[in-house]
Amino acid sequence: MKHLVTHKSILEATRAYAQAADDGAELLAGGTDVVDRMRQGISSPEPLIRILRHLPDTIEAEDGFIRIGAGARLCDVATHQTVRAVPALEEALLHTATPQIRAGATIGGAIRQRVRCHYFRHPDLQCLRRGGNSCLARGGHHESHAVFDTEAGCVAVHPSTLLTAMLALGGSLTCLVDKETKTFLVDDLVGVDLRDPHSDLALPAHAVITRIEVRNTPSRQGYLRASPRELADWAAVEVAASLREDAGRVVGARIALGAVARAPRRATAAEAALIGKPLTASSIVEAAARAADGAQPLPGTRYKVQLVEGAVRALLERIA
Amino acid sequence: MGVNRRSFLKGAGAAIGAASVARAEDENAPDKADVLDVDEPVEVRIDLNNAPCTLRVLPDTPIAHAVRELGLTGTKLSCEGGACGACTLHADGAPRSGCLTLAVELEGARLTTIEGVGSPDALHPIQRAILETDALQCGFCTPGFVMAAVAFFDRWKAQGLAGRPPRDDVAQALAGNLCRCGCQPALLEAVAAACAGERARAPGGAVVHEERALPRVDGPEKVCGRARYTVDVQMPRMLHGAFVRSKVPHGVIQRIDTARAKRVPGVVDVDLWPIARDKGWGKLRFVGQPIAVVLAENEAAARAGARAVDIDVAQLPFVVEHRDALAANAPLVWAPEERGDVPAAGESPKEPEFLRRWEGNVRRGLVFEKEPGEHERAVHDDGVRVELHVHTEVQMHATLERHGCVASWDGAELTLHTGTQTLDMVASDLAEHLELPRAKVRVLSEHTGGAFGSKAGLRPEHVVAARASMRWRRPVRIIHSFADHLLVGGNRPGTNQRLRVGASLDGRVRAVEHHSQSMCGIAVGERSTGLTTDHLPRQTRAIVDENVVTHTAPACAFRAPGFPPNCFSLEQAVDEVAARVKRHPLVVRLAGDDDDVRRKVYRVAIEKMGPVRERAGTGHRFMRGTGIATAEWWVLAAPSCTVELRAHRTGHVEVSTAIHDLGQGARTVLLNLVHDELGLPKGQIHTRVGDSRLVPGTGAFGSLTTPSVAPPTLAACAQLRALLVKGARRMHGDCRETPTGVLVGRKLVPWRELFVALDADPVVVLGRRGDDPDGYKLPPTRLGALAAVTPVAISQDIVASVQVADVEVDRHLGRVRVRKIDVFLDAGRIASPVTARTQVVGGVIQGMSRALYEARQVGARSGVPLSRSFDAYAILGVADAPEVEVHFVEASRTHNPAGALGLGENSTIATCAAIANGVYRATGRRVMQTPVTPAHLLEVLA
Repeated sequence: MKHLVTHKSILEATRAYAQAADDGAELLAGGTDVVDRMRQGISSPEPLIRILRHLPDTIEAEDGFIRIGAGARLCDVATHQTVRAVPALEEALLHTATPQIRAGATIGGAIRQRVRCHYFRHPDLQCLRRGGNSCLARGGHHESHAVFDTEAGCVAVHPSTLLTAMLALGGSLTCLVDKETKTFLVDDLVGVDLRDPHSDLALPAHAVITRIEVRNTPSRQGYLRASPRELADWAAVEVAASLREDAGRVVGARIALGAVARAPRRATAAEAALIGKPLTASSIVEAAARAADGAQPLPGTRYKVQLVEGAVRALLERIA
Repeated sequence: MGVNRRSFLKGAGAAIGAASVARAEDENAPDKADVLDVDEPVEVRIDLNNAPCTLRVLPDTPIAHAVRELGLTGTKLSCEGGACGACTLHADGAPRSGCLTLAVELEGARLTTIEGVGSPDALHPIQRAILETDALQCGFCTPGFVMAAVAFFDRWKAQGLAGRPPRDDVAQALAGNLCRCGCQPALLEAVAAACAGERARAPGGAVVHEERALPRVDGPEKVCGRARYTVDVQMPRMLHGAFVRSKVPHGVIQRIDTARAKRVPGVVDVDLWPIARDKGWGKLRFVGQPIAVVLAENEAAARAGARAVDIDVAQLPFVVEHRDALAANAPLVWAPEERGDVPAAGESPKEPEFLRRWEGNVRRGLVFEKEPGEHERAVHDDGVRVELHVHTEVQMHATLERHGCVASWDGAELTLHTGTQTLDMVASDLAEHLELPRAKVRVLSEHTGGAFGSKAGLRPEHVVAARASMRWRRPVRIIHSFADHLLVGGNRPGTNQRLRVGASLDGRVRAVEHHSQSMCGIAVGERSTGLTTDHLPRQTRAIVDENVVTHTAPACAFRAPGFPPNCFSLEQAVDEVAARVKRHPLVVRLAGDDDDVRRKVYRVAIEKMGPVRERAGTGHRFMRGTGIATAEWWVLAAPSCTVELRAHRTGHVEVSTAIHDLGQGARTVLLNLVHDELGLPKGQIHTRVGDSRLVPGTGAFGSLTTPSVAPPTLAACAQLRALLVKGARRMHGDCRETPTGVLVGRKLVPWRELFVALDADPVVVLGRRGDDPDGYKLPPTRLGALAAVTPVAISQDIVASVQVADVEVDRHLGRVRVRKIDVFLDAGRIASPVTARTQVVGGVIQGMSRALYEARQVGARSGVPLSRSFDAYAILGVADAPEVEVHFVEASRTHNPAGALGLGENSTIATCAAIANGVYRATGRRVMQTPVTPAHLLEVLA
């Protein structure tokens, strides 16, 4: 970084970002990712654009949705009265990072943070994302990497727990793209371009997230993280689920898996297996057995097939 | 925001003067962005510890660096990646990572650092509770834990909640902080008790000599962030050094060009000593190998300079993985003619070259066949046969305080501040390098932020900093970056082992065949069959112990070198025998063993431990089992150790010796012994350690501090008592000596009242340890790598231990949860019960961390280590910590007059095997590698 820039308005910041993003501009909000990358010698943003003061940080419930400003800190969201009604979101946020990071990191940054791959985060290595010819993790240490969509390109997983919860709950992002305010459904966002190693979300590269929205209509829901350590660890597999029931039968199911692919993804076969059935020990086992359908494990991520099944089962048993 | 900020009219590029930052958004305003230049300091106004403060910082300066620059060094910098929590401070009441928060972003904020929380005279309830539970050792992480805990405490109180908060809530609050010494169980207790307003309970378990329990001597300064570590030493006109290191695993330097580096603003010099001192100049053998040091006016310039040193390297084929190193055509790490230069990895003696046998990258060490050929028959005999193949990963010391030093030269003498566990060795070796008399070199190591074996001996930064301070007549500070710290800050070799055990049908082990290979990086000397030899002294044995060299950083001694991996294989094999013959695992061990110490400890464990739980919850998600493992360690001693007492007529005593308090409580041991022997109030006893100018002590390794220092302390106290008796006779005429003072007529005058009669002020006495009266297994020798200066003897004692792990396996999530570990261990007479127990708990936690989480990763194709942060090298977190109960057993014969034995190593050896056996008892499956990751556990359970 050579310059730290503060613009007068979010529109100007957005415009400046759009103009310079291809040349290395980055946004500074909570800073817990970008400052880390700068200090580790991974990234050298120029300029670094301060955006936090322009971002809304309100948390409000309206029309069956919770709207959260992109500048809200994770800790404030996690402990907000309104969010109690959405345990999948609350639990997801409380499993994110550490108290110190949650007190600094913002909602927008939690979605925009870069992958945690140790090859990507090594200043002396050139992975696909940093101009190299191949994904170094694919033939190396990749135990924390993808188990779906692994046929080509980068195999790092999306690091956002928040996004996994949002995918289960149903929701959207509101962004500024140039001068336009645009809304993107989470279900569309996770369709990333696997050929493009820089694509973390199906979102215009220069979009500035200003708000998120998640559904808070009542449902059976929750979040579960499988990680080597109990807390303050990156997920090996994470799952968030939201089930709607009618007359004792599941009529709507959204089960989202995180830390398994380039973006969070729905376990559609598991969801389908639940629809129309009561939530019982046997329907849970059947659904969980389908959770990893379509997996294409790497040699080091074979265990994640089992782990996806186990995590989905453990979560469904908990919320049943 | 301050005076140096420049404003630009977009496009015009002309500065038009400072303007305040507009918070209101005005779409129609011209784009007048506020641009801060990274090289120009700005002013940031904050409220710091309840006083207004203007920081002058560069725009990219993290707040932790900024407050440390102000001298508030209680905020520690360790990982600098937001993972360890050592730099935690409060911004507007919330705990933040000081390393990832830019100071400029805190304009107007209310900031609190550890210095604003409490002082030794006015402790915060959290600080007091941490002292009461002795929830600290080296103390480096402590301020960060205090800050995280205080934030939780304040919230708890603000919500009007009463009683003890749930464990999970406390664990959540402390999840962002790492402790390498292993104080997590006590920290959880401390915070819960403080919130409830209760007196915190000292670590659980049977309490020995309860009346002597007290918080550690240096606790108050540590919980208040006032303890000064090497990284906190700041001096005027200081130069800063940054290393240039090899980025390739194997190669030869063709050319080094320092011209560009020397042009970097602020760079003063580039010293090529690290590479120039090597024989076979320019040969690079691992990523991280030191090449040069850039010296500059500040740390940033030094690092920039280091990046600007241009080096051409001809790369060579390399091996970083075990199987590649063994391949027939593998590149050699050491060619035959170079093998005399191989560094030593452990504490074992470096044997003469003619005793070494090399085959490619394999250096064969000890080969031991008790009765040649006999074991083959014995392990295949009828009865029980067990064969295990285990793999243990490389574990890194990963101390929270990074390696480094500050050297200063006053024209006649050199002073070196450095975190070390071998003051004397550093001082002597450095004097030799600098061609100075030993007396002209002083090494200071007041506090050390974790060592565990890694901070022993002279290191390149010591020599470079010392040379530069003499040349430039300025203090020189070299502190490694955290990534460098993990590269060269020490590691425990990984192992591949094959173990075969033959036992009779009653479970008595009759024969053992053990083939172990340790991956020591470029070094040799690790021995990972020592426990097999010691535990099974009478059995038919065939042992082959080999080192495999690879192009990775040299291993070094790590708490009980070689023993934990050995225990992982051996104790699983013995457990397997017990399971096959369906007998209690400790009964099986008793059957084949006639050593009194081991028998006593095993018996106490059998008596006190609950039933062995097996296969509880089979078919369900959670399965539970009880795992047992045993261990032992030698009792080492430095007979040359001395202790000085300086007694004043006021009744104040200064006790001093050149030993080290790494957090194990050496100061507290000294103070307690003097307190007991002289009956002085603890406030009148002052301890001094960590200074090479003090009377000769001992290095801190091999659990030898207490067995070395306790006898001379008692001897010095005895001498002082004799002088007090003399004074009493002068003052009172005839009187009689008793253990607590003198009898004058029928009146007892306690020792403390006799100091007024000393015939000088102060009186100085020197206690010498001398030899154990009954001799040694191995007499004092300077052979070992770390005993090069202080001769070390192996006493006739041993210490033994049993660990019992209550293990729960989560079949769905592939996770091992350890609910409780009971430790039964023999430690002789305990001089300081609280710190002793804390140290044992720490050993257990480190063992568990190794068992379940720790693995250094090296890119196989690049040869580059990936584990360069706590994000990429997981260690145990607070939430994972089990309850640990320590049961001291006084079993040893104790051949030294103080009855003192060490416990640092013995407490960490058995944990990984106990957990592995617990997994077996829970699931019926054996884990064959550490760490037991979800991937490995799910594979085993599948």
